[in-house]
Amino acid sequence: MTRVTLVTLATTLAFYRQNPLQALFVLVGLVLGCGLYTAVAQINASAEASYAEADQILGVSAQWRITDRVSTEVAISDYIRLRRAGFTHFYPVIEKRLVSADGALISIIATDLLALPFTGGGVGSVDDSALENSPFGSDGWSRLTQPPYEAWVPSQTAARLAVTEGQQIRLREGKRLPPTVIRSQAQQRDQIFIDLGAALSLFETERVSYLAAPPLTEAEQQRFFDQFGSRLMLSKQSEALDLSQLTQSLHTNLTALGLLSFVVGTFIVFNAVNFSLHARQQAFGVLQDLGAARRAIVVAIATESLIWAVTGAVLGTLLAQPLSAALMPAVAATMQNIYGASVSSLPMFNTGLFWEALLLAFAGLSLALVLPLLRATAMSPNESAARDETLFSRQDAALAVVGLALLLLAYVCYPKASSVLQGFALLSLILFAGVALLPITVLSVSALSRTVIRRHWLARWALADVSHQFPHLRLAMMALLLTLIANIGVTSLVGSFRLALTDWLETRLSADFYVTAGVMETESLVGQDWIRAAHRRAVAERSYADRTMTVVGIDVDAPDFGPDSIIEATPAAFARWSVGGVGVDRVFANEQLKYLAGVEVGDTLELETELGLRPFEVLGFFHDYGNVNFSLYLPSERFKQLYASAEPQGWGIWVQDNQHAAAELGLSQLGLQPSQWVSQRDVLALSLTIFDRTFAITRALNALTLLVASIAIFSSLLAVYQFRRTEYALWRSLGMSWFGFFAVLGFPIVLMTAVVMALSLPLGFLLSWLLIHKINVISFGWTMPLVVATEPIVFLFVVVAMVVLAAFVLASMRQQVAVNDALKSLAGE
Amino acid sequence: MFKLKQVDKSFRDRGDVIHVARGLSWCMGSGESAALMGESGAGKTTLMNIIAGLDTVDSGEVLVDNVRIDRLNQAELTAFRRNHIGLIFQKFHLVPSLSAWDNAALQARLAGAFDQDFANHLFDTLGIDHLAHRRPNQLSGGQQQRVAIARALMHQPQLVLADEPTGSLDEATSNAVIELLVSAASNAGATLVVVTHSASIASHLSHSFLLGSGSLAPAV
Repeated sequence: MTRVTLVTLATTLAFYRQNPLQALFVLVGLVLGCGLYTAVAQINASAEASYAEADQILGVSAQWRITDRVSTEVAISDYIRLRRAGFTHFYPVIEKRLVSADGALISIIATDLLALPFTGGGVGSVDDSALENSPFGSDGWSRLTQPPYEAWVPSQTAARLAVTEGQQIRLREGKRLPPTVIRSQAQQRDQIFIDLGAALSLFETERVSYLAAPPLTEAEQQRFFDQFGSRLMLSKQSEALDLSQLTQSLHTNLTALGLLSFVVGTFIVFNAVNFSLHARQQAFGVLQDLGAARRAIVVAIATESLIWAVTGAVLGTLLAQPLSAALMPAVAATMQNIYGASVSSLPMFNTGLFWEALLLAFAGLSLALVLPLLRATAMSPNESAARDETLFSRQDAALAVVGLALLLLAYVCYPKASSVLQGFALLSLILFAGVALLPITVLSVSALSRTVIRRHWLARWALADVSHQFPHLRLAMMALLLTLIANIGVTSLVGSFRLALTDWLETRLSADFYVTAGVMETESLVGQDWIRAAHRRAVAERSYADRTMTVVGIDVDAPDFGPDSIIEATPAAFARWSVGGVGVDRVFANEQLKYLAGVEVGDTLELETELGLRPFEVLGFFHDYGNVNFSLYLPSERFKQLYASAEPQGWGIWVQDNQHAAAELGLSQLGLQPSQWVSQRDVLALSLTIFDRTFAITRALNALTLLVASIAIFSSLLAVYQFRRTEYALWRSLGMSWFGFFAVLGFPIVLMTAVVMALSLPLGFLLSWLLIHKINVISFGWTMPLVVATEPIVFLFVVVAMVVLAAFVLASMRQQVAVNDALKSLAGE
Repeated sequence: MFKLKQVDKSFRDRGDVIHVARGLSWCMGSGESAALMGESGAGKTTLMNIIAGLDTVDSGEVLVDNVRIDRLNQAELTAFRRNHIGLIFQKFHLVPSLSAWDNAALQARLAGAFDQDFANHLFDTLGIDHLAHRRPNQLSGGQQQRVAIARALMHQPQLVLADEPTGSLDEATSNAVIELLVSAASNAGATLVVVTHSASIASHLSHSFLLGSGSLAPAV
């Protein structure tokens, strides 16, 4: 670097010594934008790394369950035989419901920790690193699995049972559980987790409730049937809710919000940089007059950009650590509910991710800084002054043309978008079209208002001031618009999703109990007066369009499927479906067949049955949230003829009113173990809790993005005030009261915010509609009605109004003194 | 009219004490006009700011239209300035978002003293009636200063203070503008003080004073 460049750099950097607030805003923009993006990326990486583990942990995430064909429990000797036959990824589970000495109901779950798939699959093959990276950690497992053992009690259970760390819970029959450790682990929920060895010893048994297994290949399933099919039964965990698909959209959502935060943060930087350039125009001119080559100025500016980018990226990455740590519990809670897996609430530090984020931030920030800086040096001060008066309008018109072109492009591309990436590109087009159309909209509304409100001079003045404040506030308002569109889009999506999921769950899980397949015969249900209805489904798996197709046999009078479940159908479809067809079988299909395979109502599909290839007429579609497979519903009577060998699933039991306790007692009296039925009511409540917690992180990020946008507005207002201080001093010198002063200053902010809000509504809904009807369909093959709830949007607008007002008040608080100071130098200028 | 009685005003500049006024007294009656001259740094602008209520005195009395403005608080000063004083600056300081007409009418409207006929008369007198709808950036320097003069006179103040009003204009325009200013102020019965370096400008006014070392003396 030459002496000239160094001197030039020192001169350009001197600006920040004089204006520390501007330096602060450059830094705040960089650090916030970079920090939020990195935090989200880190959360995603941590969460996704945990999913792999969580997938293999106990419970509903286990894809298969192995039970004894005769007994209600599986002998340990069968488990050992399975392992010897190579099924080392099967693991034993004991589930018990017991009563404590105090009469409290407690649930116990036990497994062989060393047999869990993530630990390597069996005793002797475990290495420390596998356990260290597992949810159990490196220190807990040895005490759990060795005498005197430990009982891991979730904190809420410990509170319910009033036990403290180290205490042994006494059971009614006098036995004691191992010493209590208050700690939540995999798939634990309200269950107390103990080691299998401790459970076998405690219950003095050599049998387990069932064996569980992760996903099995078709070859593995076949080998199991060949070798063990006569004694053991392999059943798919079909009652488990497959909510894992939600996480995919959740992470896509998080990434989009992280990037949005980055963009909004960059807007703050743009504002600060633009201000610093404007203030240094004269200095650049003088430097050139004094013989500094333009190249030296460019190098100095590039170096300044480099310093800012590195400082911002490093500090942003540092900020990301506490930020992701603060946000991670929401994600961890989501994972616990979705997968039943407790994962660390601390984000994993990932060096690769650190460098990746740093590189991305560096590239983005350098671009944000260098381009306007280079543009500034290419302009003389006179040109720059002229630009303020003339170029803005040309720029706004050009932006409007770009915005319309983007909208047109989105319209043209809409039918062609067929991948998630293309779907998100479509969303970006909408977002940036909105941003590009904002200036012309604001200025048009202002101009239109002036033609309407001609009479009052103060209103005319305030409206005229919009065009003078807007150039400085443009980027901040764009940032606010982006934030609002994303907020409304995501809020509408989540609201629609919740309502649709609730409806679906209430129908799908309308039974009070679900009894595991193969443990209860039809005859057992006869004469049970607590039963209102009992139905079971049967499933045959086939393939259609390279995707698994499940054909489901359903009782036509089953309460969990009726005319209300159908979203698109031929007239009287349900009645026609119930009575069946002649020569052709009538089915309802899930909407995945419509969106992913192009099947329409009235189409006929040919499917393999046990009676040969048969035609199936699609009478209509039903919502099937979260299902990755195609599915057809066939009346059960006809199903039995076509798929005679299909195993029926477990019973769904609807209980008479207020007979819930009697039903549990009745099921016990029928010889069922507590692990052989689940309360659907609990699953329903849990599912909705899962949902709400899943999107807690989205809400947190929405709030953070809004915070960044409000800082952008605050910093822009300060810049406006600094730019126009002389003019404001003039207003005061003419005798304008502070009330009038702030009325004229504040009105444009109100108008701009109102326009931003108004513009964000249709674009937010459009975004939400695209998320539901394009991205969701592309990703998962299902959709749902878009529900627009006014309450959250009104709340959002109130929050935005308060945030903008706070930014205005905070920025204005400095003005009285500053303008009074400027008054004294007004005459000297 | 205004009256300064035994006014002291000084400020520090890099350790040095600069005296703008040391026991300075000055009185001007209605309809009179004066040029305030002096070397750069003598404190002409500061003295004008004191008379306008834009700056404060260390001691002494400042009366404008028989009101002790040195005793007024900020809000009262603002209201006083709005109603009684007209200001003209070297760099015009027009509000860029307003038309020439709205700029000129601004202070009169703030004071609630806008008179349509007088406004028309002023625009006619100053020769800017055809420019009423133009924005400041569509006006020449001389035209902008005429709008500024219209603004300073439109609420019919008792005192008009102009700080180098022709400093940004060429000589021919300067003479035209100062003639218009003196004539308009005189017709309105206002006291006019013009800060200037130019003897030519000063010659248009009824009095000339020289400010130096904190005291005021008639210019020769």
